[in-house]
Amino acid sequence: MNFDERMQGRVVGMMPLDVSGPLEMRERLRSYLATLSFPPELYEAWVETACEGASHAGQAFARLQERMANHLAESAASVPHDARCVALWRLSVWLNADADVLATSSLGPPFTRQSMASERTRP
Amino acid sequence: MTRVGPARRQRILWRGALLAILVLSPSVIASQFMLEVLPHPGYQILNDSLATIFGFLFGWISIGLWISLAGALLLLFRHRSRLQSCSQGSTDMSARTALVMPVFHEDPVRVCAGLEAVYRSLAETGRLSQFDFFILSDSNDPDAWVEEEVAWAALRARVGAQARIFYRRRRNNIKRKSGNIADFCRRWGNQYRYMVIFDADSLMSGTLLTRLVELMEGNPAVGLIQTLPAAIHQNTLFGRVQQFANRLYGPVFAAGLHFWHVSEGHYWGHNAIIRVAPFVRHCALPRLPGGGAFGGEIMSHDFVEAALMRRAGWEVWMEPGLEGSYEETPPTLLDELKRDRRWAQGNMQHARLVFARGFVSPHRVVFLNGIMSYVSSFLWLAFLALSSLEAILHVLVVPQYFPRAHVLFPVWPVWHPEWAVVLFWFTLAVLFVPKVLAIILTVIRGRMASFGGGPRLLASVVLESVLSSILAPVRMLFHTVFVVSVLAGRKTAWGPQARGDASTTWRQALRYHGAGTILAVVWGGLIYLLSPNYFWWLLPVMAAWLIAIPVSVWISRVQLGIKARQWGLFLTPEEIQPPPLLRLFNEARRAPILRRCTAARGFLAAIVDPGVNALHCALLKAGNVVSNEVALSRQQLMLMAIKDGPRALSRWDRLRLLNDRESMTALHWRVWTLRGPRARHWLDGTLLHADRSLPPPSCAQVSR
Repeated sequence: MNFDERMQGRVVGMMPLDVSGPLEMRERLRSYLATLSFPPELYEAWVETACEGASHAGQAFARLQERMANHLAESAASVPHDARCVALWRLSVWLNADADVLATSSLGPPFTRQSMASERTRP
Repeated sequence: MTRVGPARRQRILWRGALLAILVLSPSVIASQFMLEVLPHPGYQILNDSLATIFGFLFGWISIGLWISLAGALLLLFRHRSRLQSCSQGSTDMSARTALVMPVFHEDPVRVCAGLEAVYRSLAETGRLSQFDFFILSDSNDPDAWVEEEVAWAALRARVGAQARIFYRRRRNNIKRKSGNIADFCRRWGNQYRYMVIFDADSLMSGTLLTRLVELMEGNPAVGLIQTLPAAIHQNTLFGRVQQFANRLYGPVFAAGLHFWHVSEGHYWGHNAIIRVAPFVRHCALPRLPGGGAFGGEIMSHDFVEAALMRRAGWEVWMEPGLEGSYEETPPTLLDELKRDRRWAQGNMQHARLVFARGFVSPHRVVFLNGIMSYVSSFLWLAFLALSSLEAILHVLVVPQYFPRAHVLFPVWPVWHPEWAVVLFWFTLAVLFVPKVLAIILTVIRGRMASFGGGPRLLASVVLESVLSSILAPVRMLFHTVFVVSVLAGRKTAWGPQARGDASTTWRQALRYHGAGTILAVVWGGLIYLLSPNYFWWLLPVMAAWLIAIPVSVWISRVQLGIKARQWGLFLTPEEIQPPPLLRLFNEARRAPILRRCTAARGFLAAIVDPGVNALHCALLKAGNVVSNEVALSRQQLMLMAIKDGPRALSRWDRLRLLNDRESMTALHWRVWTLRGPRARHWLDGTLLHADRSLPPPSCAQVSR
C-alpha cells in the first residue's frame, strides 16, 4: 500500500467530519467551482453527477476530480492523464490559460548537475 | 584563455606602490604634526597613541582623496575605459546568459515588477532569446514562499507562458546568498556561459545587459565585470540625500577604483556579470573553521569571490562607464545601520583571509579596506577618548615644572592650538576635496541641469555635507559597537533588507540613539566643566549624538523627502529625465494584479485556494517513496491541521506540509469537504453560507 492509498484510507474514511447532507454537498461543490470561476452553465451538470448517490462530500469531491481529469483529457489531448492533471486543469481555469500550453511550458530548465569544483579547497 | 601578462601586472603593482606612497607619506607627516600639536612635555604614551591613531585615520581618509582625484582625471581625459577599448569581435549568439535574482523575504510584487521591466527592456533589444531569468528564493517563511509563487505566476501570465522566467525555492538555505547562487550553478550553471547577478532591488537595462555580454565576449580573459549601480526610487529625506550623493560622487569614486585596481577590481555582489565556468571552478566558498563571529559561513562573499576569481588568473573589472544599472538604498538611517551590522561582521571576517595563499595584493587591500571601514570608527572614538583623557589630566594633574633636579629654569607645558586649527582645516580639506572634484566635473561636462541646475546643485551639496557631518559621528558610534560586538564573538542574524518607504518612529529612535544621547550629555558635560577650551573641539561630535534622536526621525520622513524634491533639492538625472527602463518598471508596478480565487493569502491560500493550491503543487516535485515513520508523521500533521485548523500549526509544520505535494493535494480536497466549525478554520464565511450549523464531532470520531 503506498502513501496515497494509506492517506485515502485514513482521510476519506473520516466521514463524521464531512458535509453529508445532499443540499450542503451540492452547495459546497458549487461554491468550489464558482470560486475557481468555472462557468456556471457548465458546473451544474458536474455537481449533479458528482453528488448523485454520494454519501458524503469526500466522495462527491473525488468524483468531481475524476470529472475534471476527464474534461482535461477531452480538451487537451497532449496532457498526460496522471496525478497532476487535476491540478493542471484548476491552474488553467484560474489563469485562463490553455492547458496544453501550460503542460508544455517548462517551469524550469532541466537540471544538468555539476559540482562546484572548488568546494573542497580552502583559500 | 589570456591571463594578465607581466606588463599589465607590473603596471598594477606600480600603481599600488604609488598609492601606498601617496597615502603613507602624508600619514606619517600628519602623525608627526599631531605630536607637535599635543602638549609637551606631556604624557608620552598618550601622545604617542594619539599621534599614531591620527596617522592611521588621516591615511584612511586620504585614500578617498587619491581615489577621487584619479577618478576625476580619468573621467576628464579618457572617455573610454581600457576594458571597452579592448573589446573586439562579434558576439557569439549562442552564448546564453542567466539573469539570477536571489531573494529572501522580499516584496514579491516588487521583485517581479523589476524582472518584468528588465524582460521588456531586453525584448526591445531583440536579444531576449539569449537570456533566461531565475528567481532563486531562500525564503523560509510559509506565507512569503506562497506569495512569491503567486507573484511569479502573475508575471508569467503578463509576459506570456512561454517566457523563460523560472522560480526555484531552496529547501535548506545553506551559506545564504552565496550558497543560493552556488546551488543555481550546480543545477543549471553549465547551460550558461554568463550569469548576471541581481539583488531584489536591482534593475539593469536591456542595452546594458547585451553590452556586458559583448564585453565578456570581446575580453575572453575577463571573469567578472562589476557595473556602478545608481541609487533610485528614494522618497524619505535620508534616502534622497544618499541617492543624490551616490549619483553625484559615485561615478568619480568608481572611476578612481577602476584606475587604481585595473583588472584586479571590486565585486559588490550584484549588478555584475560573471563568467560561469571559472566561477564554478574556482569560486565556491569554504566554511571558515572555528566558531564565533569570525568562523563559519563567509558573510560578505562578494569580495572573496572576486579574489578567488583573480587568484585563478581571471580578470575582475569595476567598469564605471556603463549606464543603465540601478539599485535602491536603505530608506532610513536605522535601516542602513542594520545593514551595516551584517557588513561589519562580514568585513571583519575577512581578517582571516588577508594573508591567505595566492590572492593578489589589490584584493588583500580590498579586504583591509573593508575592515578599516568599520575599525576606523573604533579608532576615531578611541582618539576622542584619549584626547579627552589628556585634556582632563592636564587640568587635574599639576605639571612638573622641574622634571629634573638641579635645573635653573622651569619647563613650561607648551601646546599649539593654532597648529591644531591648521591640522583641522587640512583634514577637512582632505574630506571635502572629493566632493569639490565631483562638482567641478559635473560643471565641466555640462551636467548641472541633470541635478536641477547650478544653484540647486550647490544648495544640495551644502545641505548634504551638513547632514553627512551630523550623521558621521552617529555612524561612528554604531560602527564601534558593531566592531566590539564582532570581536566579542556575537553573530548577527540573517534578515531581509528594508526597501521602499519606511519611517523611523520616536520609540525606535529612542531605543537606538538614546544611549548615544546620554553619552553625549555625560562626556560633553564633564569636558565642559573641566576643560571648556577643549569642549569646543568635541562639540561637533557631542552635538551630533545629542540631536541624533530627532534627526533620525525627521530624515526618515517621506513628506520631508517629497518637500525637498518639490524645492528642487537632491535631484538626480533619473528623476529629471527617467530612463525608459524606469518607466517600464513603473508600468509593471501599476499592472493589474492577478485575480485570486479567494481572499486567503500565504499558507492558507496554498491549502484553500483552488488556483494557488494547484500552482503550488505544480511547482513541487513529486515526493519520493518515504519510510513508514515519515508517512505516519505526515498523516498526524494533516490530522492536526484538519482537527484544529491552521492556527495549531507552527511555522515548521506549515513548511513541512508545503514541502510535500501529496499532503498539499490531500489537504486541499479535505478542507473543502469539512463541515461546520472545522471548515470555518479554513474557509471564509462566504464560501460556507449554505452549511448547516452542526455540533463538532467528538474526539472519538476524529481519531477513528
